[in-house]
Amino acid sequence: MADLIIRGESDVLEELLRAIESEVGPQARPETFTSAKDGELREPVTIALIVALGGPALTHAIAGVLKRFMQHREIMDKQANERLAGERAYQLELTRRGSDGHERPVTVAELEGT
Amino acid sequence: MAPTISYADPAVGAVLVSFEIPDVDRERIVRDATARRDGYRDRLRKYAWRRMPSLLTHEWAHVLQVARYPLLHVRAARQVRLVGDRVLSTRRGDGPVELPVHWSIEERWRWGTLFEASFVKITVDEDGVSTRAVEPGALVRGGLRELDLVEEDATIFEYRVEIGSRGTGAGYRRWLLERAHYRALFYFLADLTSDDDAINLIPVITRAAFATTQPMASLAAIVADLVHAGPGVLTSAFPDEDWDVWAEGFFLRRLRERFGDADEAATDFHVPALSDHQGVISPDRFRAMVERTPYLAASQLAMWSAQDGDLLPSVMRTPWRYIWRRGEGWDERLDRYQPPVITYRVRSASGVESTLIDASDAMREAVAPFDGDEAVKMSVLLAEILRAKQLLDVGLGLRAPLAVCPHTACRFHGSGLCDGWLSIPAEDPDECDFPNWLAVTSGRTVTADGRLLIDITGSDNG
Repeated sequence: MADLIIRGESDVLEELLRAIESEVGPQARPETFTSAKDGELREPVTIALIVALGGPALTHAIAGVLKRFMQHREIMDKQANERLAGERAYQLELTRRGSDGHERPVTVAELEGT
Repeated sequence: MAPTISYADPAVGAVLVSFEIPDVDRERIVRDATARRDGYRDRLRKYAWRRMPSLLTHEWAHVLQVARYPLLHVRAARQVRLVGDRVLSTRRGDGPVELPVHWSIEERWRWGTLFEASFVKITVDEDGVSTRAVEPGALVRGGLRELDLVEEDATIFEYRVEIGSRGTGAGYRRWLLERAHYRALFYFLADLTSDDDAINLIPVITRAAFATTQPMASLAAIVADLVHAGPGVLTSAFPDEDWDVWAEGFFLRRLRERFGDADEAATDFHVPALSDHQGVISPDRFRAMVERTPYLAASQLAMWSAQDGDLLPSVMRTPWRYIWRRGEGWDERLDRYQPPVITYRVRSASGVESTLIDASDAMREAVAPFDGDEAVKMSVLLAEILRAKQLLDVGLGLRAPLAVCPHTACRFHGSGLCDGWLSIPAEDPDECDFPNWLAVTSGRTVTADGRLLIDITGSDNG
């Protein structure tokens, strides 16, 4: 089964995970990755998400969530930037990993066309 | 408002919290501390618990883990031994030492951290369960760390106290989305079994895995048993209240059948962890280790736990029955199991910072295991270990200092000696007690130009 690896800022990834859990549910098989050092016991910092691309219906559902999420964030970030000059807009880096383990960058449009 | 930062250092038995409070609260606290000394400490604790009940509950769980889980206890003892070596190392050397000093640690002792953050991938397929190490930085499904077990065990403890009941898998899944949490093990087990099984299994698996010397190998073995039995068989067949007691015993028996008992070296904190062979640390070995390390806060808690019979195991299994929601208190039998030391780094909105190191009442009363004319309280010993541990962790680059020293003109600044010191005076660097602490513990000080660490007992001059 192919996977989608999503990298980005911790708070953005947490918000996206909420959207995926709410709109797609456990069949997206989400997993989160957090940064940590040996011996550290502290609040987690999410650095990536993995969700399953298990067939066209699931892939479309995830692409739909991503599209709506990105549109919403772009509007929010644009408004924030108008208020706070220089604030960094959010970024998500999407990577598709095939069942053979091969990884390549992917766009939401590509996922929608699956 | 700046975010609250907290972490536990269970090797010391300490919880560290850095948080911001409104100016009006700070003024009220200072006024209260000045006007009514009696009971001030209790009122401050109540204030902190009401402000951060979930966070403090979570960190408290980490402290209790070290008192109850044999492998964490061994590793805590190894860490405190390293702290002692670091302090002693400043005494060594025949002459002056050029500054700044750069601290390092032998690679084999780096494995002596409380747990490892490296990932192991557990794969379940028709051929059974297999594991392999994951390259650093690789993001793979089923990649799990010792950290995930320890953190998710504490997270479920926190969740159950917060909702005041055992909770459900579905409820826990929703709760996990409220803010960033460790979730990798929950997602992995839920995928393999169900949400309900996952939340019930994680504390049981963590207890069993950390009763062995190699928790990730034990986790894989337990997963193999779960797969072999089939989803739900080990959990739903025993739906009674004591299901988890039975399950923990079952998993430990199976681990013992596979790996045998750990040998004596596995609980020897004078040797690095690399020498440990896989095996189950028996209750007798754990008891003996606790008796050999009475200076550890975790050992004190473990000794009290032995006196209290089933109390602490029961708290770990059903915390909501002993700790009330929203920081409103706990069963008074838990008073002596409070985090032995809590360090509050308080920032007010106007930028005033202060550090409060608060030892628990039980540690203030307990006597440290030293011979001498004057009894030393555990709280004094723990404060010293905590200060030295912070210096070690920051010196090795394992963590950022809780507070950055602003006194750049001080001759100690930039020496590499005091990075991580907890009690930094707000204004006058002459009020800092680090120079005196260094002189007492090592017999050394820094020259006026800040370039050399020299002996002040006379040997460098002779």
